Amino acid sequence: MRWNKEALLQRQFRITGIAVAVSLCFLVARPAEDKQLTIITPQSSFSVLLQEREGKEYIDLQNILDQLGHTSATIEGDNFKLRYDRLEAHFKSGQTSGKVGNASVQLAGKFLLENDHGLVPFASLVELLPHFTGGHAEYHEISRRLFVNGGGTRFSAELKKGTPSTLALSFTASVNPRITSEGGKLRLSFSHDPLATTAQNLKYDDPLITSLHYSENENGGEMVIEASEPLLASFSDKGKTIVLSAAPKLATATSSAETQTASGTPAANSTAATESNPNLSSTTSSGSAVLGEPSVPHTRYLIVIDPSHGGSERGAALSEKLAEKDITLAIARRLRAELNDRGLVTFMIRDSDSTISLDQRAAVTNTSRAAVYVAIHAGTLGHGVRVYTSMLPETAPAPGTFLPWETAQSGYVHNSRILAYSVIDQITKNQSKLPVAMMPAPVRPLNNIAGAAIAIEVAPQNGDAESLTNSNYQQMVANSLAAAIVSVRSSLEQPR
Amino acid sequence: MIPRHVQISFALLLAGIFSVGFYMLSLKHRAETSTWHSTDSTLLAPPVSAAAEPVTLYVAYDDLGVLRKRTAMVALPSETPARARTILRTLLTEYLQETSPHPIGAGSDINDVYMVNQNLAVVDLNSTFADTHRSGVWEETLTVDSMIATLSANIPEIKQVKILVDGQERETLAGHADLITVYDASVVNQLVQALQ
Repeated sequence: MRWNKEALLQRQFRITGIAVAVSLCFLVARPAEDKQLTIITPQSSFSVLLQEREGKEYIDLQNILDQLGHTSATIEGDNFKLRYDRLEAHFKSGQTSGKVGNASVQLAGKFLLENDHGLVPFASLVELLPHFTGGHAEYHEISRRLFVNGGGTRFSAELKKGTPSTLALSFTASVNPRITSEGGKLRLSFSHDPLATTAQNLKYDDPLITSLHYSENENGGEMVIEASEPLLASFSDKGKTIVLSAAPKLATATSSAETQTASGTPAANSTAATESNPNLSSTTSSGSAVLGEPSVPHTRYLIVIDPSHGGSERGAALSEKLAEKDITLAIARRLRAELNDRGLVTFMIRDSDSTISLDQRAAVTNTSRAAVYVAIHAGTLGHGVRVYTSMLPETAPAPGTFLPWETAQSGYVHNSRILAYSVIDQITKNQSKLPVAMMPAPVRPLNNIAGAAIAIEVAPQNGDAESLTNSNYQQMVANSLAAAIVSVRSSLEQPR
Repeated sequence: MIPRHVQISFALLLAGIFSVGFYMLSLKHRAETSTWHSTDSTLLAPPVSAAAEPVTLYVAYDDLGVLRKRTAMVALPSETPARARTILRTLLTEYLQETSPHPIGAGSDINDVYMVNQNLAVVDLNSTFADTHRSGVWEETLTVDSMIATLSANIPEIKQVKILVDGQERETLAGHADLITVYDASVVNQLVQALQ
């Protein structure tokens, strides 16, 4: 009885072992990958399966021609007659030659007839296809792409020398590459864009951009641009142009205490450096993504000040001569000084009259991991100061590194409101009679900021737009904002 | 000495030239007048084939910084997109008047309104609307909020609104108000309640 029990246990153990081994075999053994060929024409791109017969790769000819025009096939015994538009082709099963129109064609292997489909050796396709389509075909072996009749996207690169230089990449069609960066090396992966170039190596005699290398891989194409500094990619012309330029550096102005702690540099030197480089934090571009880390170490309580508009984007016309962009910059400079006096690290999105896109403003703020973002606007409607927060619903901060661009602010709405209320309090303390209001509003780019973010709109003090240039008024606004940012520091500061 | 019959012929020709000249001038004046009328920015009245019904408008008042609820009697088509367009055009008519509390540029109009999934209304503004709109956070916010609140008040099934300009996505209305986002009507309505 006991022996029987042991035998039964041993038997069950063996069966379980075999079952586990078989399951593991199924898990480990991966199905043979179907090889595919991507065919790119000027009108479309499509994929077809390659089939292995007699040690060679074969392809269904009619399947390809169906995508390019109208086809019909007739089979009589071993004879295969294929009509493509007005052209007629004849092949015979087992033969290594055929006829397309009046031209005789040689195949790299036997023609096969299978389930009413005519298979030709894949090696013959590049020569065979132009007989039907009338153009030419170019096969890229690494990426398994066949470019027919000039299909595919081509690009050219032009280095525009300057201080700093920019590299303009022009494409014949819109592209959407995946962009990654490692220090000064920028990688553009074109897995979805059919780039017809096989390889290109360009060297530049430039202090910023030193080389461009394009090569094909099994996923498509990859372009690597090497530079001495992190680069910023700006898209324009509906994705047909990518301009690479130096990523903006954070222009820091710190208090003596923070500077000495962080780098041992006296505060006076640091501030002077910022003032002497007014264009350090400005770039010109449209529709962009910021790449690469800014060259300044992250601080836990970094304040990004955004003087809205600038350059060709004048903002509201406050009077015949007064543009919004000038008032916002004046107030922003005062705010920076006030914050620096209070020992806070700041970054100005622009410190000169330069055009910066809204996406770029948000991207720079997010990559610098700012705790606070303040966009400054000016308007002529009404009086006093209006403080705006995002209209997004308040949610808990999302875990993880990636946030949806359009709703990045969601997890920070609570903090933004704390800051907005504080600004209202401080303005009321400083000038109790000045009308102030706080409300959610659809102001770009608040929704894209991953941090406490507000926009303030400074309206005239007394109905006269010229009062916006009043230094006392501007100073009062800057002072109130700075006091508010300092007062909520303990609520907003957190490890990021 | 010029013969008498030549003198008469010459005088008749001269008279003919002058009369044709006057006629041409009057034609030119008439053409100019008709062109002026055709560029009049006032939107055409809604179709009158249907019975007029009350429409709630949330009208922006710049000087007070508020949105005021108003009722207008408008003949509305039965299909939701056409209905939405007529309602918005009624609101714009208020803004296009000379005594408008929230003026917008002459020629501003709604190209069309499309319904997606019954709850999302896509409002297509004409380019004149955006190009001539006054720039400013408050001005642009009032315009966007009043349009969304008006749509939502009259067609409750509209829960979200997306705004395009000439069929294309645009970053902002006039430099400030976000046109990339899809507006949640309930959030706008809460804001509008506070602004009344």
